[in-house]
Formats: sequence, structure tokens, C-alpha cells
Amino acid sequence: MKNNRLGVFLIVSSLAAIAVLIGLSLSKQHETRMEQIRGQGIGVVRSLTTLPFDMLVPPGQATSVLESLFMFYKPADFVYAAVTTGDGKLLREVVRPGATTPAGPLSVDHGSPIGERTLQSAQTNRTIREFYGPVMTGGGAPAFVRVGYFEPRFAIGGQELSFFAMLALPTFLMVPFIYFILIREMKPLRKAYEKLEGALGKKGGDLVPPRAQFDVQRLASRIYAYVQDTDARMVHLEQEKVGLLTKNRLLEYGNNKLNFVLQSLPEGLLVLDPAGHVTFASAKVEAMLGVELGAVLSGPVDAWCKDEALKTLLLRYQTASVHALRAETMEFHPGCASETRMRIIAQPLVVANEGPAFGTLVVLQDITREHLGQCASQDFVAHVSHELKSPLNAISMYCEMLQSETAEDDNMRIQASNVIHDEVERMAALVNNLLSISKLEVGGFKPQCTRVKLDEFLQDVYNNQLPRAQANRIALELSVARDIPAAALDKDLFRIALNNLVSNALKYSETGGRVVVEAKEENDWLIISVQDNGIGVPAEEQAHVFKKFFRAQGGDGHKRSGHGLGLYLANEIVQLHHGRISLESAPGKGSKFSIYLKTSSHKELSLL
Amino acid sequence: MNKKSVLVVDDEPHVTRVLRLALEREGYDVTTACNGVEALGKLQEGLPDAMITDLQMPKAGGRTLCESARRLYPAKDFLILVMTSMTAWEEREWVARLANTEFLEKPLSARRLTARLASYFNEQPCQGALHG
Repeated sequence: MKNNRLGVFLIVSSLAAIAVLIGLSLSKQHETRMEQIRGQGIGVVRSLTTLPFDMLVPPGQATSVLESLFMFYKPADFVYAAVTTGDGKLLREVVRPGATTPAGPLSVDHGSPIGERTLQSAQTNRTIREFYGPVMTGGGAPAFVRVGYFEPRFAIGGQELSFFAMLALPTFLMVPFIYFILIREMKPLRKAYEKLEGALGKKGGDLVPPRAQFDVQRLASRIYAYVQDTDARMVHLEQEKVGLLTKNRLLEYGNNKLNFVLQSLPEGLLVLDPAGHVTFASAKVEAMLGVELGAVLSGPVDAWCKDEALKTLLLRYQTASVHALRAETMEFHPGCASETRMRIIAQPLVVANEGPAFGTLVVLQDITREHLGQCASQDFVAHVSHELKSPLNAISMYCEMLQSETAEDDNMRIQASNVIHDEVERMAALVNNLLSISKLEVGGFKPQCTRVKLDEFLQDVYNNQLPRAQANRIALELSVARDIPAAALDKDLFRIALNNLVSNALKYSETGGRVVVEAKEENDWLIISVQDNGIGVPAEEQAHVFKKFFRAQGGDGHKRSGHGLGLYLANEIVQLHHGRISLESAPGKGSKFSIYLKTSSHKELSLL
Repeated sequence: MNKKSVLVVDDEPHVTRVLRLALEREGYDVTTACNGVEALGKLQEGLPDAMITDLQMPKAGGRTLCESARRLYPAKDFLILVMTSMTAWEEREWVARLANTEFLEKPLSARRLTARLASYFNEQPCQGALHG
């Protein structure tokens, strides 16, 4: 509702209220007045009808009671007081100025003695309320006393006007008062309306430009529109939210998976930002570099990196330009675990090969095995070539000698030939050992086991080694238990192992010594032992004898011929057969090498 | 003129034997040792005019022997020939630092050795009798 309409409405309603008030008041007045008049009229008529006729209509010109009564007693609406005959002939009257008694025939039959009726005034339009009563005339038809009053009009008199004005004024003044109160109360609504208009207008939901006029109905409709709109948006947002939550969850899941994958990589990963701070570090870095993840993630490289070389490399990546940087690789021994070897691959991270690097990716690889393998391989090559150079040296020198004049000397010739022969044999043995070792180390070398009769087998070995034993005047003995079961062995491999053990025994025995090869069964174990009474192995070296290229120095400080591979090979072979070799030895007393093989497994040939 | 004395140090018996034969035929007085410690002992007994030594030996290797010899007997200058099958750079360094010390590569040739000794002794001014 518009403001002016509200105003109009207020004014109209106030006026209506006033009118009603006045109307009610007037009608109340009218009623009261009527009652008064009636009371008066009837009372007067009643008292007048009790008077004798002579008093009412005295003969001659004497004053009637009427005149004397109404001379001084002039009620407000009094019109007339008259005595008339039944047919209306006027006998006496007192009238107000300007009025006459209206004609009004009466008869005795009219109801009760005192009656009431209305008549029209002849002069004015007013209605007269007449009260009449019969009077006995003392013979003849009765006369009637008639008193007439004006019926009160709905008119506002002079005094009454001020009264009504006083009544109307406050009522009317209420209007602006209420109006202003209303306006004030509606101010927040107006503001709300303006806001709504703004909100709705901004969204463009309403094509009609906001109306300047504040209108409560419009406000309501705007509120409704806004609520609906907001509702719709909320539904939409809820859906979006659900969608986002799902997406978020998926992202999180993907992220977790990715993170898990990164953490599971065997390499350690670091991502540095251009300032050199670590933004990501996988857990492996902790173990690899001996640093704490917390320190790595919170401080710059300077703070946590303990290895100088690595620090220098990483600090080089603290620049922006990609063109200055390339991937770099470095190997080093980390301070925390110096026996391991790490490879670092540092690489700037760039977007589409252009622009500044947004970080550095650092991959840490534990290349200890690789490194050890390389070192071992290098060592091996060095060892082998050294081993080969010695025999070659001897052969070369003796050949030179054969080529020179000393070839005339028979002894020299024989000696030279012998030495050359021995050295060639030595080299051949080395090459064979190396080949066997290489086959074993490649792995997947499955022994071809067959059922072997141990007594025959050991006899073979014995026969093989006997010439050498005899040449050095060492007694070689063989002792095989009678009921020794057959064994599942790879004949060729095992032959190598046993030959190595026996030749070792012979090598490290003094002239006149004794070597015993024995085979027996004991508690589910098959035991083949080779015992000598030679120089023995010092206690501190016993743990190392089975290592590759290890040569015990021996008590006499002489290096015995041999490459340090025999025992290593023997051990590997025995282990392939799921057995083990043990050593009992004391320097100066001799050594006993025992091969232990499980007998139960020998019965299960099919499994090997 | 006295025979020149040569000390042969090697743990391989073949080497010492062959060298001894070759050198004795050339008229040198040969003593042998099979490791650095023994060699130092022999040096104490009497300094040779030349020493041939292997590098890899038990107890004390060729390097220890050479460096000790040069440190112990600075006044006496004798040729040291170092036999080596390993031509590692580290070896070249310390050999070059020592006076009058050279490499002799394996496999050995007795001929090369005797030739080298001969040329060395021809360069030397004649000296009086050396305890040998």
C-alpha cells in the first residue's frame, strides 16, 4: 500500500470513526431527549387531566392553568399545550412563538386515557410528539388536553459543536501520530526492501529496474521472490557441495594413492621449491641420509643436509632459470652410513621445457649393491690378472732362459720345463676354478644330482691326488665306512670340491706328513672329512678361509702357491648340495675339513 | 774390480731362482730375500749396488722396503728396480719421488734386467771396494 494511500486510509477511517462517534452520541442524545420528553409530556398531561375542566378552560378571559403553567415553564422542545374537543375544536392553547396547534381529531376510543401520537407541524417539517389525555367536561363529550413537543432533531447545536469538536480533534490528531509511528516502524522494512531490490537486481533476477516507491505488498512479493530464489540457490549449492565433496574425496584418494606410490618407491624422493626449501620428502630419505623428515621439511637445505657434496649440489638449483640448469648425477657415501653408496639425480622441474624452474626433483638411489658389485668385479679382475701375471712371469723367464745359452745345461732345461709345466697347470687350475665360480655366481646353477656310490667316488679322488702326494712324500689315506649309503651328488661339481680340499691338505702339509680322507654316517648326517697334520690355520683366520681369494699366510711366512679360490669354491658347491663345511684346526697341528650332508634328503632324489 | 752385488727381493721362488741364475751368469753377486722385512735385514748386513724388489709381498711390501731403504741409507745411493704387474698411478707417484728408483714391468725379462743394470753401472764413476 502506498504511503499516501495509507494516509488517505487513515484519514478516512479516522473521519469515519469520528462520524460514528458523533452519530452514536447524537442518537444517544436523541433517545435520552425522547425519554425526557415522554416523561415530561406524560407527566404534564397526567397532571393536567386531573384538573377540573374549569381550571383548564376558565370562562371568559381568565388565565387558564395552561397559561400560568407554561408562562414560566418553557421546556426546550415545547411546541404547544392545548385543550381541544374531540373533533379538534380548540378551546384553549399555549403555543410556542411561531407555531400553531395542529389539527388532530381525537376520540375517546383512543386507547388508554393517556395517549401518544406523532403529528406533522404545519409550519415546519418537524415532527411533533403529542401527549393527550381526556378531561371530563361535566356533561357532554370529553375534551382533551394535548401537549406537543418537537421530536429531537439530529442537529448539532452551538454548544454541542464545541463538544464534538473537542471529541473530534484528538481523534483526528491521532491520524498523523499513528501515521508517523507507522512510517517509523516501516522504516526497517523500507530498508529491507531496498536491500532486497539490490540483491535481486544484482543477480539480474528481475529485469524490471527496482522501483523507488516503497510498497509493503511489493516488499512481501520481493521477500517471497528472494526466499524462493535463495531456496533454489541453496538446493543448487547443496548439490554442488555434494559434488565438490565427492570430487574432493576422489582427489584425496588419488592424492593418497599417489603419495603411497611415491612413498613405496625404492628410491627416496625430494622436491625442492625454487628457494631451496623441501616441499616433499618421501620417508626413505630419512634412512638414506640419516636426517629427520621434520627437519628436512621445515628448514632450508643448509640447515638439514649433513653431506657437503650433496648440499653443494642442491644449492646450485636455487635459481630461477632453467637454461642454467641441467640434470645432474652424483655418487657419494652418506655420512650416516658410510658403507653404503648413494646416487643422487637432481633435475630441475619445468613446465613444458620453458620458463623458470618451479622446483627441483631429487631422486636418491641406494646403489650400494651396484657399487659393491662393481668394486668386487674390479677387485676380481685385478686379482685374476695378478694371479695370471705371476705364472706368466715365471713361464716367460724360464722360456727366455731356454732360449739362451743355458739351454745347454740339461739340469736347467729340465728344471725350466718342469717349472713351465707346473705354472701352466696352475694357470689351468685357476681358469677352471674361475669358470666354475662364474657359473655358480650367475645363479640358477642347478646341480645335476645322480646317485653316487661314495666309495667309488672317493677312490677316484684319491687316485687323482695320489701322484702329487707321492711327489711330496706325503702319505695319503682313504677310509670309507663299509655301509655308507649312496649320496645324491652332482659328480663333477663335488669332485672339484673334494679335489680342492685334498690338494689344499697336501699343499699345506710338510714333507712326511699325512692326509686322511674319511667318509662315515653319523646321526642322519653323511660326513666326508679331509684331515692333515700340516701347518694348520691360525684361529683369527679360520673364519676367513672360505672367502674368495683369501690365502692364509701360514706360520712360516711363505706364500704357498694357490689362488685362494679352492676353499671358496668347495664351500659354494657343498652349500649347493644343502650341506656345509666345517673346519677344525690348530697352527702347527694340522687342519680337518668336514663336509656335512643330510642323509634323509638323499633318499628323496626326486626333489633335487 | 769387485763384483757388483744385487739384492733380489720377491716372494715367488721361481722369480728369485731365475733372476739369481741370470744375474750370476752376468757376474753379479746375488742375495735374495722373500719379503720386505728380510730384505731390510739383508740391507743392514751389507748394502748392495742394486736392489730388485717385487711390490706385493707378505709382511712388508715393496713400497715400505724402498721408502725405508732410502730413509735409512740416504748417503748411499744404489739403484732400486721395482717389479710390478700393477701399473697403477699411485705407484708411479711414490716411485718418481724416490731417488734412483725405477719401475720394471712384469712379465720380467732377464735380458731387460741385465741390460738395465749394465747401463746403470757403466754410467757410474768407478768406486772403490764396496762391502758386498
